[in-house]
Amino acid sequence: MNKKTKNILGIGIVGILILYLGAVSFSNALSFYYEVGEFVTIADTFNGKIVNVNGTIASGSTIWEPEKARLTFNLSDNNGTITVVSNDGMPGSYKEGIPAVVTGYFVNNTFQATMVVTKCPSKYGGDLDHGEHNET
Amino acid sequence: MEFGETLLTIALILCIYAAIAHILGIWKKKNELFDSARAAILLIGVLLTIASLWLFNLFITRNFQYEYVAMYSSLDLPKVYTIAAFWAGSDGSLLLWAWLISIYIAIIAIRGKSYDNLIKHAMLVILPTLGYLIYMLLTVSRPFRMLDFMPVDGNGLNPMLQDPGMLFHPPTLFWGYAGVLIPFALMIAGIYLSDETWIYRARRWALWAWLGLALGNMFGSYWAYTVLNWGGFWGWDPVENASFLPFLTMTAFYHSTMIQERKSGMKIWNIFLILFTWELVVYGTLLTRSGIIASVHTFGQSVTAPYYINYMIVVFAATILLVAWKYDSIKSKKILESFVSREGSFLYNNWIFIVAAASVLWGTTYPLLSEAFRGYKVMVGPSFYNQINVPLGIALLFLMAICPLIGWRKASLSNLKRNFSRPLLLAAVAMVVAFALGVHDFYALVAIVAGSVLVISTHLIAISRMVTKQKKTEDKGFPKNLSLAFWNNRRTFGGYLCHIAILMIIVSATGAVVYEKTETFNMRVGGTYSVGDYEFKLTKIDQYDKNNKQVSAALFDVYKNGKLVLTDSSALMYHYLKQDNTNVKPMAYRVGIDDLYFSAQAITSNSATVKLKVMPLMFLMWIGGFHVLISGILISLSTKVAVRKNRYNIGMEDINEL
Repeated sequence: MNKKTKNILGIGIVGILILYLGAVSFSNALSFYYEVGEFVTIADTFNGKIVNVNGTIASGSTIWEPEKARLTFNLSDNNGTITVVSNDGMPGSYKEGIPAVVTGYFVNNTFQATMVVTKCPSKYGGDLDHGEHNET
Repeated sequence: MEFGETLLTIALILCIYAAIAHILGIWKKKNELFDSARAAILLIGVLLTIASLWLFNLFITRNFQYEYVAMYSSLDLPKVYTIAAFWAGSDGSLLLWAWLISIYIAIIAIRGKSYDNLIKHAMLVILPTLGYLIYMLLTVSRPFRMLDFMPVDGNGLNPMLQDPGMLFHPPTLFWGYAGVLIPFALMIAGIYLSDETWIYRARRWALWAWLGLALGNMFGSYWAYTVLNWGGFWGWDPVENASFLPFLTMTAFYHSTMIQERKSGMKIWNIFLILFTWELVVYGTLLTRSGIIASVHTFGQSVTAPYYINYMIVVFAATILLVAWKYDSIKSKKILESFVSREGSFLYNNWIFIVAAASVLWGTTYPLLSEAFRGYKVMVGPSFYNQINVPLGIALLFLMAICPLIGWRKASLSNLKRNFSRPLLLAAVAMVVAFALGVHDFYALVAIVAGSVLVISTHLIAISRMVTKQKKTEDKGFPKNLSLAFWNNRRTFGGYLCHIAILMIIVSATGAVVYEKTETFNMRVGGTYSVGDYEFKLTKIDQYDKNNKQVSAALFDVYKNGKLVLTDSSALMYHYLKQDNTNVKPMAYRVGIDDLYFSAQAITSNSATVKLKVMPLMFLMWIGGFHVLISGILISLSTKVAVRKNRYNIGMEDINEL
């Protein structure tokens, strides 16, 4: 085996190793992502596995316990609702009626969130206020 | 027609005119056509500048009859953020991008001396691209769209965007995005004309774009650290990744162009690197502006996605066809005589950046592919990116240590011994001493100790050799020899500074991750809580109004070994009245080599729940990224690289203008 072949072999082995390690870490880092309506039908099958659920924070559902830094709210869409509990304080830009993605696991009919990410929609704050007599 | 749209329409007509004038000028060989096209390009720059100033004016005067202004500002928004609101949404960002491109080409057009055949052909890539962006601004992404009513108030700016970072992060990133177009266009022109000097012409524009991308990424990182409450400097968010990707490929491109300049090699590689960089710029804009990937700061759904995708497909297909057509004229010379050589180190450097970029691209794009082709959505967690990129970062560190001293062509054993025995010995001693002093973590030993010693020592040896060479030419005493060596080798010194900056960033990230200490406490006023070597005493809770928000502040005195080291440091929460929501404002304070990071989770009238972190070495990241890296790029930018006359048969004066 000449030097060039050895070098190419060495680089090839390193390349395959990187690909293998990349594939393993990739599969470990993957988590499923569902809409609330999809999730409620299969929630019990996850057995505490980490999952992401997307929905809208339901109006009037927020319970904020500052002493415990605990936030409880309902996440819903047209097809279902789940109760989410987060013990990690108030997430940035939290507001009822806006979309959020919660990451965590489902136990005892409650979604224990390890992360709550509120999306920042382009039309922040909803429709524009027309006022009473300002139509032009 | 509305004033801003009138300006954009005229600019679009001028774009078309200038492009046609270039085609006819090239075809008929008529110089007066280029003069008129250059005048049109200048006018485009003026028109887009006025249009942009007009949008600033609409925000400052809070003219809510403009939908874009109403969407992103409100009566209670502080004036400084009415300026930043310009690029808070997709329409304004697109205008900013087009505006910057128009300024760049106006600068090129105004310098008539360098307006040669290569740049004339490059304009046939730039002008249609700019025209396309302006067309989008007039049709699907309209910042000057007027409502048929006057809203009482606007919706206001997202609270997370109400931070000084908003003034700097998007503009610097778009400065880079706009800049990448120029080397890409020069590359296309270069292939078409079989003119390999495009690489020289592209160099300073590539550096300029790289500077913008570097600044944009650093501001983004600082923003994540001090605003977004992610508790860190990088979260592998898809939109962060979108800005990081072109930075990675542009870094690879800048390194490999040196091989093309010096050895006439890696030509195809460079073509694809700048093609991918430009494609990644457009892809980044697609990700951040179309909302196709769920992220903390995408701009919601928009109709612009097909426009970006179509553009990317056309650019990719056209470049591939062009390369295939001109393949014979762009064949590289064989550059690699040995894998143990300076050329080899450049090659490995490129592989590292490409593997890093490929992993980030894959992780960012996979959720899209999964949904499109497999029918289910997934998310890729940060562990994937870290597991791939941390080892690559360490490999990069060692490569940086090798590259200043390893010989060109083929490094002999004696070359390796002479250059690396002392740095390696020094690194080994440093590791033993550090281990004896209690540094037992593998990453800390390898990255912080061995990596730093190796990189710094090899770079110092390389600098000392330059000074010695200068001394042999004419000895003027050490200070003058050093300054002359610096002046005559600015490009190399600039590169070395960039290496030191990357070292600082890697060391800082390693220190902050390995030695970070975190605790969350529910605290009462007067209570004291320990994290690492520090004691945090909650002295009082303060609540007050500031601008458009209510502020809740938990104030701390911090002690180390019984000595007061910080007073009135605070953990803050902002409640925005207009949006009726509460945001955490993380605060970081430097004490010695540590950052003390306060992130409030809840604040009441007499208690606070606060996450406290002690993060060592974080300050190195900001000094390295903002000061050293930027200085390095600016120093490199100050140099001109003359075309090697024996390689390309053209005059140097044509080249040194850009």
